[in-house]
Amino acid sequence: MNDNERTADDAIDLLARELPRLDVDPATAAAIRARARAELARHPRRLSRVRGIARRGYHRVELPLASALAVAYLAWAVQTILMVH
Amino acid sequence: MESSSEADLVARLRGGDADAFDTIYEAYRARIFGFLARMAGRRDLAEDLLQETFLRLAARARSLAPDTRPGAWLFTVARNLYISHCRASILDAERLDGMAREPATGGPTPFDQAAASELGVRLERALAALPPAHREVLLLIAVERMEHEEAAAVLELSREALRQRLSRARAGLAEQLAGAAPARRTG
Repeated sequence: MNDNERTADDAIDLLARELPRLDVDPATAAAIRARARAELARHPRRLSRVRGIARRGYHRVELPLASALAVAYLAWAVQTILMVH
Repeated sequence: MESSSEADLVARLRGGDADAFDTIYEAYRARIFGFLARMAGRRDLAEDLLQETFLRLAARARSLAPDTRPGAWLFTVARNLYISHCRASILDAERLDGMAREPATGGPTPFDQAAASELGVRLERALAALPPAHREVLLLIAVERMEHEEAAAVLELSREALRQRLSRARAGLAEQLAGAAPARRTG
């Protein structure tokens, strides 16, 4: 380890040990907590539920749908080649 | 925070448990605020972004993945909110850079008042004088003691890119501290 690397390591150790802790004042901290807890207590939005159902449904049909399309395209391609020849 | 207790907290939070939210809020509030304040250079903006970060946690609690790491999730959201704010603001990159450098050349900052010692003030000023990309990597790894893999995920970097950025940031910090050293120590 050269001097520059040692100095950089010292600097980072100093930062880890000595950087002062910052925080919001207690009134602001309490206000933010209250707003967030009110948000948490709200029922999940109807739209979110609909989206969730749609997403789960899509995940279920995605693979079979993609497979069916691939097989159909392959069949059409083979049929076209056979018709030409 | 232990990963098993984190998993338990996340499971409870997914069920809408307010006590679990409070535990996470107490554990991360000051850490997220410190990160945002040092990135933004302004307490008022950091408070707004802190509030938005925890409102998002509350709003999305029920859709969190069971293996979510609350710390990484919160730092990612806080950082993205800060970046969005910068993009939305009328400040151009030059002014933003200038704002970040102000504490190094100007008078006492709100952070100077929080710093109890001369060393604390020097550290705050040295950190503020670094480019934001270097500052954020130092805050996550040196101050927050985040694992490199987790920090890379928060910063959207590869591990190698993170290692290189960290190396440059460390060198930059050392340079800033050497430049800001009191006269009696430099001769």
